[in-house]
Amino acid sequence: MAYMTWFERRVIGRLQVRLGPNRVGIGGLLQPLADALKLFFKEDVRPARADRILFPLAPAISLFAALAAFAVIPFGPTTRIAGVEVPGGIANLQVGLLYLVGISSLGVYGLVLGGWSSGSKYSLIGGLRAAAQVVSYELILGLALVSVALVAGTLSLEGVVGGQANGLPYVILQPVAFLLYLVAAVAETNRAPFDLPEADTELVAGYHTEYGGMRFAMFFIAEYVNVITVSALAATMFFAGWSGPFLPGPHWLFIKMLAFLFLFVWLRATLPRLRYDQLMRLSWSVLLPLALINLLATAVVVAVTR
Amino acid sequence: MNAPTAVFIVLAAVAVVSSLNVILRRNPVHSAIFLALTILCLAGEFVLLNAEFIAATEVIVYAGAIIVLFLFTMMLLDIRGGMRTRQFQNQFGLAAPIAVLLVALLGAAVGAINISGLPAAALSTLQAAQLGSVQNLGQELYSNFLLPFELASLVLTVGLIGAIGLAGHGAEDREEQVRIEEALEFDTKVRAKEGGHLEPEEELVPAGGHHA
Amino acid sequence: MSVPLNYALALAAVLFVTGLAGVILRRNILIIFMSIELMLNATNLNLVAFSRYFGNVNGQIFVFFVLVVAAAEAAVGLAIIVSLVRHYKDSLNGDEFNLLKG
Repeated sequence: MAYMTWFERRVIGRLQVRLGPNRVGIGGLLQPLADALKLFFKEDVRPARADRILFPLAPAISLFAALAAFAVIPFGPTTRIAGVEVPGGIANLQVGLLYLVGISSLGVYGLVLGGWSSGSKYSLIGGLRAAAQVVSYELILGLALVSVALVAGTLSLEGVVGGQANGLPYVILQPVAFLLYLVAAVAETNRAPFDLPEADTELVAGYHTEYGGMRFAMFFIAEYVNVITVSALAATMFFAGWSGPFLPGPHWLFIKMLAFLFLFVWLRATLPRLRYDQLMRLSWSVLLPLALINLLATAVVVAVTR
Repeated sequence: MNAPTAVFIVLAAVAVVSSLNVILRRNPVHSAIFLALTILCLAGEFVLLNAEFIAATEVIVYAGAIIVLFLFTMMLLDIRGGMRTRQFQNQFGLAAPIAVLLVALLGAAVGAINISGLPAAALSTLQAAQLGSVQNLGQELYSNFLLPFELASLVLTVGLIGAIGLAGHGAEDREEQVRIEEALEFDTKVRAKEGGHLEPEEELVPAGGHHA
Repeated sequence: MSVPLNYALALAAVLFVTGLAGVILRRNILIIFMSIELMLNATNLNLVAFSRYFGNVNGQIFVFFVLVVAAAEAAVGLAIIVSLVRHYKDSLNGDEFNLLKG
């Protein structure tokens, strides 16, 4: 387990080293390290109206959910030695996809509680927005993943990768699901153009307005870990995960993941933020019917061809 | 004692403590969080009892949806008022005998179960692992339990419509009405001033404030 | 069998009694509601434990249905609470809602 966390931290750290300075455009490879140091040594401020228990707990929940979700992403075939093997836990492998959805649904708590416990109206509005947004888009995320699972015939992530290793990647078989997943994933991680919970032009900083120092850093890291997780999941579910020619498994996953990370940053740099009612309408009256129709069509096709 | 039993006991202890916290906390938000913790512990117990799918569903439905709904409600309503009043009913006279009876009854029931007396299906590890598998559950759900399954979807639909009907309209419509009236009033005020010059104060937004 | 049946039943009994105590003793309707959820989950644990014990999947199917009912119930119940508090009386004390018509 310790080995796994070490590995995980290395990956996250490395990704942030590349991501941070690239986007900010200043400093070199040491910039995120300096940021982390600064946040570590900042004073721990707690607002007067904040909830004593929940205020410190909320960022921890966020970070925990983000890290725990990452655990079921397969890095390579099972036969590999410890460390690169899937650290799926005791018996989770069989329902890996459900585990992932379940854990990522726990991430909402961090946002809601962070918003509520700060005792500030900006935080509260941010928290409410975050909750509504994440809950509605999780539905679409789930439906998109279920249609892929239908094609794969398994809920285990390794099985999904295995199904693609010998045939076509599921992005070709399930293009609609992939697009739905992509939109839902951006919304789920509260990234631009769906970053309404932390829309700084209207809400200061949303649910983490009152947070500073290490606690803010935890929210921040959680967001990036979430981005990494959904990217890794996208690579796993739609682009055959670790399988690929020549290079060993983890490398392929890493390359595919990086492509998605780039896409995330790209989106953020390009697209303006949506309005809140647009966001909700997009979710409930465009994407949800589309996801349901796609699921139905997939089910029919799978039933006929099997 | 084997490892699963030890884990079971640890999780059970956490579940009991947090469930007590659910009913004893003054702040309903804290109660909700402890309820979520209880659910997570129960999901862990389900995994130990070879019900992985049910465990995952439990986490998704309860922790991911129902308790978030609770939190949402609490944020919509003002819960701080309710925290200052008295928290407990004066029903100890009623509660005490019920509690004694129930504890006696349940204790007797749990104690009376003789494990060897019941026809326990001896499961191999493989069989046990397949018991709660998605395939097994799905097979059963879509054959023997097809009608209940369809009825369950009906229940959900009715619940959805009911919830929207109860909470959706009413308040919102009235607020919307007030907002429209205010806007119209503002509009007429502006029109009345038209031709002349507008007072600077009157150029402000309608009294209803910004639209959400 | 890895976990003795009695342990699971005892835990379920304790949780159920806790939930019942919450329903009887608390005033806050939200907490009463949560106590009901607690009781539902105690029964879920029993169903899963028996399902494992008899090697029969029906118990888990039952849990599935309990989850469905719980979800519908939470949606409708919370909607009722919201509309009660907004339209009728601005309070979360269950005792204050004592009229048959709003």
